[in-house]
Amino acid sequence: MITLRNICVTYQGVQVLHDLSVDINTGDSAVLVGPSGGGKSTLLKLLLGGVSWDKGEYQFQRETVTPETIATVRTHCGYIAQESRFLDASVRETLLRPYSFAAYRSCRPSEETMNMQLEQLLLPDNVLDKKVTALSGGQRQRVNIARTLLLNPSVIIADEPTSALDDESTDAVIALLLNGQKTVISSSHDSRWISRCSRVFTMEHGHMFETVAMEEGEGGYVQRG
Amino acid sequence: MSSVVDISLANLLGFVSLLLLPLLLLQRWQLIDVSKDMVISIGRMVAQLLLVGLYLKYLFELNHTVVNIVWLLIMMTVANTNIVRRAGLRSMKLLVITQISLLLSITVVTGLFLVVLVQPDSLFDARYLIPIAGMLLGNCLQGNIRALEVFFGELKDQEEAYLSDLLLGATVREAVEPALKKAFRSSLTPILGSMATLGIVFLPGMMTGQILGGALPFIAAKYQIGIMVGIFMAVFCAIALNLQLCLRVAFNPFGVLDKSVLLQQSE
Repeated sequence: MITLRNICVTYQGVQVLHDLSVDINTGDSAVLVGPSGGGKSTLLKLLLGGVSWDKGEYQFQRETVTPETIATVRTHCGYIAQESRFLDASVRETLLRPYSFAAYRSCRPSEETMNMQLEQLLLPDNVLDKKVTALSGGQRQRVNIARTLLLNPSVIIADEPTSALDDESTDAVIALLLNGQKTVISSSHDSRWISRCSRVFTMEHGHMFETVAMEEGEGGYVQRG
Repeated sequence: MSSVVDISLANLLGFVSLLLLPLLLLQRWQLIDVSKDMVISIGRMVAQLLLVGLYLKYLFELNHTVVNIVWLLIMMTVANTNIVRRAGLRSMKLLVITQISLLLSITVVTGLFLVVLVQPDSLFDARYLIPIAGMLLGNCLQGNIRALEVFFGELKDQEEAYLSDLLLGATVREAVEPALKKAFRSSLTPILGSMATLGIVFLPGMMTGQILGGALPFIAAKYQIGIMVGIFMAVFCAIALNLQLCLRVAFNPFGVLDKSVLLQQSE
């Protein structure tokens, strides 16, 4: 589904990603782990054209990704940013903002669908009219996740999706995102999230290697063999 | 009414010397930085205006189309470099697009003002072309500085929100829409505000100048209405064009802001 071949990224004269090659298949739940500054966020943004690469090839669904084709990639993938910084608006306006874009104009969700999505993420039903800036960090992160899920993407790119969440909310997010229905590529320091992913990649100083092969077992994924 | 009453240089000097009072008081109150700024700013203002007065005298006497156009282009280039630098930006591409925006908007609005309202024998007559274009340019300068400053400042402050929209499938224009709106609002609001109070709270410079120059107040008022509409049109067109062109040159092919156009904090 996603293929990277010898991808290199240089930022302000410093090489931040070195010769990365990887294949992510449909249904995979891949997680990038490793120290901060290792290149995890850069790689996730690169998959959506948020960072340009100097060398190498990136294919999405067997098509080479270029500035001309990036719009297709972005509408197939849903992005969950690490920092949930929104404009000063209500939760409803925030959830509906993507539907003002030409790409989603025809698929605006109903009030009921929005409420259902928020409920699955343990957010109270009266939250729709609240200002996002008045919410806690964890609530804002769940609004961020709800906004992406409402777009119903086939691939989810999530940068530390549980970093601001308590245990209960983390369980709800894991149940929604890591249920095998979507391809998920994420970064995380959360052991519960990592243990539920089928593939784990370690990133350090811009180099990436697959750490362990996981397989489904009792209570989540376990190390293969 | 008769022509302008000339001011003798001695009387002007006497009037300017009134500034010694605030200067002494500022020194006494230990507002040394303000008094220093005051001396520099007023000194520059006096020197610049006297030089322009002398220069325009020759320009009007010469009244040569090519010289007039070259003078206008110099004014625009100086305004342009000021806009880009004072908005905290750097980029040859931004200098070029700001120059295009100023050139088009000033040319079109000055042309319309002269053709529709003043109707001089020659459109390139220095007596009309230079003051009208200069007035429009001065306002475009302030409006464009504000618009670019707010637009790029907002993109920088709200980088995550803008990037999230972009990566979720928005086009560049859709992703930067909140910043565009804010830039327009904050650069047009001061002009609209001053329009709303014009004539009641203060008499505008052009109208005052014309009345002092011997024009009937009603004629001066008609000129002022014309110039205010011209200012609004020129500022609006220059900002709209400039921001529109920014979307083409300040973002990379994937729609991400090219940060090399922003000046570093230390610069």
